[in-house]
Amino acid sequence: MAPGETLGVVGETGSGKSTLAKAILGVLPSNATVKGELVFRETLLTQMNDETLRKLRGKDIALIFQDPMTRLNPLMTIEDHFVEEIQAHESVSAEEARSRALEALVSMGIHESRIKNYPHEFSGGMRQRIMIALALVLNPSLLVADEPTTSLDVIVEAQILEILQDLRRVYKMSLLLITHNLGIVAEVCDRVVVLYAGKVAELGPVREIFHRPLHPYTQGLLASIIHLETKELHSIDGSPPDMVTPPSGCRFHPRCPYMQSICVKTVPPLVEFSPGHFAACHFGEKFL
Amino acid sequence: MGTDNVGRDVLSRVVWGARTSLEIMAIGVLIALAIGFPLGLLSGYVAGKLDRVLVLIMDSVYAFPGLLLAALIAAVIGKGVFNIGIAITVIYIPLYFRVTRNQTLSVREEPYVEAARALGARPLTVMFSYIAHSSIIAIPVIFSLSSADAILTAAGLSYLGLGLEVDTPGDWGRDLSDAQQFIGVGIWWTSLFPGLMIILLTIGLSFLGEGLNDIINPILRKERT
Repeated sequence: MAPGETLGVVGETGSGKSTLAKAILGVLPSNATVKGELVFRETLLTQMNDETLRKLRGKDIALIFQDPMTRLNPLMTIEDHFVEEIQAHESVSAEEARSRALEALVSMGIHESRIKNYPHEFSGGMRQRIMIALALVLNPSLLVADEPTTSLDVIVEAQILEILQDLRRVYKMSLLLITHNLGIVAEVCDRVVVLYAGKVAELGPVREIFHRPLHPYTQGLLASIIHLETKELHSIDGSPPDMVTPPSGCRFHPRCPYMQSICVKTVPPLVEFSPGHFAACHFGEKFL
Repeated sequence: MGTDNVGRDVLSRVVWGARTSLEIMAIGVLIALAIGFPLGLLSGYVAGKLDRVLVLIMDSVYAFPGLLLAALIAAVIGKGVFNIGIAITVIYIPLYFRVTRNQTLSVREEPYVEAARALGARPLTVMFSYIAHSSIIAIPVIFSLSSADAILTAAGLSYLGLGLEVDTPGDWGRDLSDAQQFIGVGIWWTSLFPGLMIILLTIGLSFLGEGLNDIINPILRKERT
């Protein structure tokens, strides 16, 4: 990802989006192993020791979650949350931490008198804003947002997205936005990655993906979007694969309208079919 | 309350016995808490081999009948208020360990703990501010209930003669055992009053525990209003 870029990660439930987010920060359950490379500013995240990785979290890379209702400690005031986070990364006095907390909260549009309230005294939208404020208080260069607006109503969703976009502009922060809502992707993202069954199906600039999808799965996704003129619902045949025993070859082959025998046998490589636009399909060129 | 067979005032023995019992109970339960709570926290949070070893040890101790274990330990380390306190500690450590560990295991999985870790909270902070802070909710009730139990165990030990030195002022269990032989001849006051005191203190502490539970547990609290 480039600095200041917004990359959308799209996929069905179970495609591995949240797992990706947690893998970046190393907060997967202890029985998970990460293979491959995660490079952040030329350092390999997968090879860092625990303490180095901990210092990175919140300060350089921040992660916000989907369900704001349960993500704040019910026994701590909002001020406590901020002070704890600031002091976990910088050695500043409690006074200074508190004033920074106040600043961060007010910048999110929450009144400063509420700094000593407990999480249960806020609504879902406000809690999500608090979470974003917590994630941004240390000015990370990368914000990973795992479906930040999925559990919120559309009006609050619009507000949150606007906040995220403003912050991107002001702080030149990169945003990895995980979502299953293609509308948000079209509105907010520069590039998109489409995940299917844990593998990258397609990757490219947002306009390219929407106007010229090369992977049948992406095509299916776009075709299922409902417009005002939609007369008939269109969906992709079949159901998401079992991740314990995924299909052989191309994982999408059981549901693909263009499936051939090669699709069952060989895993399609991720090929750059046009500048910046990658797809993992044996027949990508046909869709160019 | 009358006098006993050598002329000692039963009332004053009972009153001093209260002090002794409370001392033993305090030593026993407080040290058990001081050891059991951190171990439970550590075991639940760190998991792995340490957890398995600790659970094995604690379950083995827990499996022993309390009085028997206390009697064994008392027989080994000798008499005295402090020693009996220690014997009682050993019985209750597994209880605090188990309760704390269960709380830790469930709090550990809470989403806000994951969110805190994702923002870079230090492991020690997570353990204390988050997990310990949430787990401590279970402690007051267990504390009072185990105190009640500790009184009974201490009295039981004294009754068996394993408790305190002979000249310790006021020892309810021992008084009970001494007084047994006189019940047949109609001397009821030397056994009734110590026994009554044991019951009163035990019931009092149990009620304290229940009352605390009513206040702390939000479901029960609603039913009161």
